[in-house]
Amino acid sequence: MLHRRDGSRFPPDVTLGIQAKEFNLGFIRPDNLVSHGLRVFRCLLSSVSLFQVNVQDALNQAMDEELERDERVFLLGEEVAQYDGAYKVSRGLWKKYGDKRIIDTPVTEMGFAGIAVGAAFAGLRPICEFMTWNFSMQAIDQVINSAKTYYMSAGGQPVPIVFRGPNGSSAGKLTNIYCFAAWYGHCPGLKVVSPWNSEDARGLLKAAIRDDNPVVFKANELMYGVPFDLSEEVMPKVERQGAHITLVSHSRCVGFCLDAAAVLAKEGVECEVSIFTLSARVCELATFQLQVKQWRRRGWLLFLWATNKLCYFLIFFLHFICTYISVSVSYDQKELLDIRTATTHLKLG
Amino acid sequence: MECFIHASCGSTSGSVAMFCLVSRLFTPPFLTAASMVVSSRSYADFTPEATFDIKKVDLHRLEEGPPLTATLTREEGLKYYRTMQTIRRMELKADQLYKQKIIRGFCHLYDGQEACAVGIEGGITLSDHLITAYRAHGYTLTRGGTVREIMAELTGRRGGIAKGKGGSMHMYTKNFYGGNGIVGAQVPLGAGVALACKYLGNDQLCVSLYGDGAANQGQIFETYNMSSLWKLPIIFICENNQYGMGTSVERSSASTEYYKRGDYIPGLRVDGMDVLCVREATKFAADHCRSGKGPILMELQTYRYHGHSMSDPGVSYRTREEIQEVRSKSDPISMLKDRMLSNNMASIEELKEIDIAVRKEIEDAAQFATTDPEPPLDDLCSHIFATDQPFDVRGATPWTKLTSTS
Repeated sequence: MLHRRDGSRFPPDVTLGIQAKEFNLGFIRPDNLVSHGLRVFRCLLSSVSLFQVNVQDALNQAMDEELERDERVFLLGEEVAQYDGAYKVSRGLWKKYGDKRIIDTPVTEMGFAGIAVGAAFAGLRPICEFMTWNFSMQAIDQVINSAKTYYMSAGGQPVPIVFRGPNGSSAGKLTNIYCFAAWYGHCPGLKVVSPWNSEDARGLLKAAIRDDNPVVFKANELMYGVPFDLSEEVMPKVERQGAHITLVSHSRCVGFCLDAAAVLAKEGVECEVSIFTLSARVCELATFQLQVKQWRRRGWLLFLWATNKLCYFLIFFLHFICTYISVSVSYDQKELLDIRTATTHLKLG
Repeated sequence: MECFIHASCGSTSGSVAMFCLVSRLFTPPFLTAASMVVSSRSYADFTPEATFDIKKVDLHRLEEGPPLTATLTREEGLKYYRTMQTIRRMELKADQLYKQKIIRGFCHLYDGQEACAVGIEGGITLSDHLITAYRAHGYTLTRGGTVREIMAELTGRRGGIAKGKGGSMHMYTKNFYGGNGIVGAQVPLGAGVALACKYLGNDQLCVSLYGDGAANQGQIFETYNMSSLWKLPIIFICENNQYGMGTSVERSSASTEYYKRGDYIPGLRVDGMDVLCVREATKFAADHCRSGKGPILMELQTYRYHGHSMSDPGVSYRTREEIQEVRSKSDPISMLKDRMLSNNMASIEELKEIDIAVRKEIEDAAQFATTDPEPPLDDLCSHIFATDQPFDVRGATPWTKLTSTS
C-alpha cells in the first residue's frame, strides 16, 4: 500500500502496530541521541530509577497507592473485585482491601454510577469503573450531571469522583469501540483525561483521585499490555523532538504519531510528537494550540484525534504531504498551518 | 365506623375531665378509612400532650407496622403547625411572585403536601440525609434553610441559598442534596449517600424521595436491587400525589400499589395528609434501617393543590371539585389545627398569632427576595471546579474571556 517516491517499498521492519520496545529503540538515533541522553541523565540526576511497567500495572499501582493513602477512596464497577477487573486493571485489590472498598456491582450502569455520585456527595471518593466507555451511555446522565452540582450549589457541594474505563478502538472489533473523548470533553465542569503511556496513566489517575472534581479517565485497552519506562517524577510531555512538524495527539494515537515520525525521519522530515493528555476539552485545546503557535514560528501543526486504524492513513497522509507538497522546511513561513484529522464520521457499535 | 378513644389529660389542677366522642369521616375518592379524635375539656392550662388514633398503614412483606396511635405534645403540635403554615404561605407567595414575573423559570409548588415534609422530618434527625426531586422548597425549609434564603434563591439573588445560581430545583443545605432536575435520578444518588453512611459506620440513614411519575423509572429498580443486596440504610419514599404532571396514576402505572413495587423490599402505604401518620411511619422505617435490615419503602398518599408547575393551571386533567373536596376534607394544616383545638392543646388566638407571625416572615422574605441584588457577572463562571487555580473560560465569542474561581 505504501511506497517511496521512487516506487520501492518500505522495508518490512517498519511496523504499523504498537511495539513499544521497537520504537523505544528506534527512538534512539544519532540525531535524537542527545535529547534522549539528556532525559536519561536528568532521571539519573534526580536519582530515580527507570523501569518498565505496562499501562495496566501503572493504573493498578495508582489505585493501590490511593486506596492505601485515603480511607475514603473505594472502587466500584462490574467485575472489579473477584474477577480482578475485566481487563485486570484492579488485579489483587480485592484480596488486599476486601468487600467494603472494592465493590462488584450488578450490570446496572445507571444505578451504580448514580450510587457512586451519591457517595461522592456524602464525602467519599469513589472510583467508578465502566467496563468500557460505551456502556457509560447507559449512565451518561449521572456522569454529566455530576459536573453541575458544584456550580449549581455555588460551591457548596463538591463531587470528588473518578469515572474510569477503557475507551476507543480495540483489536478486530466492530462493537463497543467508540471513542467518547469528544462527547465528555464538551461538558463544562467535567475534567476529561486520556493518557497514553504508563507514567501519564499513573500520574493522571493519582491526580484524578485526589482532585475534588468529577474526572473522566479514559485509557485505551490496547495500551494496557504495553510496557513503558516509568519513573517517579512526571516526564516532559514532548515525546519526541523535531523541528518541522508538530504532531499532537492523545491516547493510543500518540503511538501512531511516533510510528509516523519514525517513518518520516527516514525521509528527512523531523516530527515533534506532543501528547495532549491533560484534557480533551475543546477550549483547552484552543489554548494549547495558541501556546504551541507562540513558540513555534514555523512548520505544520497536526492534531490527531482519530481512534481506529489511522496509522495507515497518517503515514500515507504525511508521506503525501512530504513528497508532493514541499514541506522541507521553508524557514520563511510565518504562518502556522493547522490540520486536524479525526475519525471518519461514522458511528459504529 | 366509630371508635371510642381515651385521651390522656394531664391537667395540673386535677379537674374532672369530660369525655366526649367526636367522629369525623373523611371521604375523598381515594382515601378510605376514618381518623378519630377525642376531645377533652379542661378549665386550666392547655393540654400538654394527647394521643390520637391514626389510620392503619397497609403493609407489604412486614408482620407488624407502625403503631395505631400517636402521641403529640403541645410543643410539637405548635412546631408542626408553624412549619406547615410557613411552607403553605411560602408556596402561595411564590405563586404570587411568579405571576408578577419576579420569579421566573421553573417553579414547582408543594402546597397540599406539607404533612409529608414535616412528618418525615419528625421521624428522622438533622444528622440523617435526605434527597428529593424538583418539588423541593418544603424540604429545603425542614432541612434547615430559611424562608429568606429560599425566596431569594427563587428570585435568583445573591442572598439565595445557592447564591442565586441554583434556582428552584437546586437548593442544598447540610445533609440535604437538593433539588434534582432529572426525574428519578435522585434515587440512586440517595442510595449512594446511604452507602456512604454504611461505609463510614455513623448510624445515619438516607431518605430518598420520588413521585408517582418517577416510580416507573428503571434506575429506581436498579437502586432497589443494589440497596437490598448491600443492605443500605435507605428509606425510599414515593410521594403519590395521584398525578405525574398531567397523567393520573391509573394512566401511567400498570400497578398503582407503589409500596409493593419494591417487591423484595418491605413496604408501607401511609396517609400522607396526616402529619402524625407520616411521622410514625417514618420512625418505624428509620428503626428498620438502623437495625441493619436494609432498605424499606413508604408510599405517602398525598395531594397537590397547584398544578405540576406554575405553567400548569392544574385543571385540564382533574376537576376543580376534586381539588376543593380534598382541600375541605383532608387539608393537613386544618387537620392538625382541629386536633389541637379540640384537645385544648392550643387556643384559636394562639394559632392566629402564629399565622400572623408566619405571614410577616413571608412578607419580609419576599421583600428581601425582591430587593436583594442579583449575583455579579464575575460569578457567572465561578464554581466550575473545586479547589482549582483560577483559569480563563471562553465566553460566547472566541475573544471574550471570563475568569473562573473555585
